[in-house]
Amino acid sequence: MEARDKTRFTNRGFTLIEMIIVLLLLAMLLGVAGFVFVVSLRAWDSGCIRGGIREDTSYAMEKVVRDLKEMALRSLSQYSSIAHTVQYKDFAGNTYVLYLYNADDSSFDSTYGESFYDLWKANIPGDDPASGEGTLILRDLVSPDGTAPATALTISSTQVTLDFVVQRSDEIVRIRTKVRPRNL
Amino acid sequence: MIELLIAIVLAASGLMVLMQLMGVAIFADSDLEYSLTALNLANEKLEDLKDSDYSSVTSATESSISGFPFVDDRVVTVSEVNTDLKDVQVAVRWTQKGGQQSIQLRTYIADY
Repeated sequence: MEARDKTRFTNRGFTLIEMIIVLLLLAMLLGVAGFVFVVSLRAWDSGCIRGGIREDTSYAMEKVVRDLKEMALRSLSQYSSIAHTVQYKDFAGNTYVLYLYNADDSSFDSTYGESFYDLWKANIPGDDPASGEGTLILRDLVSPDGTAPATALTISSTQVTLDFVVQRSDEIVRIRTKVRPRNL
Repeated sequence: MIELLIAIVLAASGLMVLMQLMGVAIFADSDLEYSLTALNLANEKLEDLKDSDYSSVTSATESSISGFPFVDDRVVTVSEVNTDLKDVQVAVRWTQKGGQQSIQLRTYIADY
């Protein structure tokens, strides 16, 4: 009798309440794990996009700043009086234009009606800025306040303000600086 | 039963560590972005000062910068090395992870 009781005690299974508690705990744990996983994926996506924007924007900033600092004496102006364009010469006498271009914008003037513009560098007269010719510097520029026109390049009498606001998906990165060309 | 509870506690501990790691990774990303932006804003101020009259290169503090809400302030500290030379430092400060971060740029501006 005693041996049978011992066997019954050591081989007893879980009670229903124990199983329910464990299942509830497991469910909570899986819920937390799932939430963490989803949040991690979103953060990863966002990080990848923002990282790409930062890389592209830094490259563009470095390229434009270097060009403008090394331009020829007193060669800075707007191209055809169009806002957000910068025309300058290098020491070899080549003329370049930095400009914003969107193929859907049929008028190449100071009116920027599209949401997105790309920053290009044209070597004129060979490249035609009105047709989007030249070298692509930076894609997906938007206006800082979300409304057209874009305000990427602004010239004052002795300075160029570079205000690059790039949007891809829902991610927006803004980097702004000024350049005072050394030979202005 | 006790084994299962121990297993759950261990798994929960592991998850907590993972969540902390995730937080570190996300903050590291925004650290980089804020640093890059602050560096350019500091450079912007330096370029402004280089473009100013020598007499108007003075110490000043901007308590905010429009378009960059994460920035606490931008501080210009000027000390005269001699009558024709100023030591200029620009610091951009922001708050992150409960502490204040900053980036400083320094240059000399001469009255030439």
